[in-house]
Amino acid sequence: MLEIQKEMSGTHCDLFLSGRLDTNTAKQLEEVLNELMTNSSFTINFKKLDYISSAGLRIILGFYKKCKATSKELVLTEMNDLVKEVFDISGFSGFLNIQ
Amino acid sequence: MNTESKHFRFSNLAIHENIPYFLDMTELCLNQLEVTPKDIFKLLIAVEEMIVNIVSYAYPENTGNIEMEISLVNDSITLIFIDEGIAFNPLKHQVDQRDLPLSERNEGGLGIILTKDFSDNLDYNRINGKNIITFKKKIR
Repeated sequence: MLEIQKEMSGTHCDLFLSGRLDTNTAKQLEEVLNELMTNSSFTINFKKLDYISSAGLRIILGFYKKCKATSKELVLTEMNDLVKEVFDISGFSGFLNIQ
Repeated sequence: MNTESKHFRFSNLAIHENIPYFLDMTELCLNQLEVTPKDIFKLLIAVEEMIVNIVSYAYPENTGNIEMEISLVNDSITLIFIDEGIAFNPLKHQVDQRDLPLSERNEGGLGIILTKDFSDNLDYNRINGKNIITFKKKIR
């Protein structure tokens, strides 16, 4: 199960993920992100995300590409060590803004 | 815990709807084997990636099973995935793009990169019309 909480301030959007980002829930995040593309900057908070698989990474990668193509800012925050390790192994960490 | 209880086997139809079944069963077995949450996290990723591969490629008609075995021997977990679908070696289809900027990457191959990294040993065999993937990881 994945829960996505949104907080908007102006054209900035904060997203808070909790639960699992996997094959079954990736589509849910993709739909939310697509709806929010009109904003100009994004922070995705991973504090309560317990699990991420490649299906989740693919959604983040797709969103990163869209942000880059349209000069929007994307920051990922508060990953737990295991989730961060998945980003590291995938080679994503060097390219993404992870705080 | 006796030796018998350290070996689990289960199977189900290789369809997308059953991916949670394989993940839930794996988690249940690993909990019984007293595997730590950190190792369970990594093993579940490996299971998800392997099961998704099989569900996606093995049976174009969606009419076959996946059999999984989980065992703990000498502090090493072995996961075995067996299907009778078309021959497919996921280890051969890895394209390592990790040095490419993210904007130039396509979205394939990530699952096998994670699975390889989390394993100490990962093998594919085609025996008697079966695809057999064996994943080993030392956990203690």
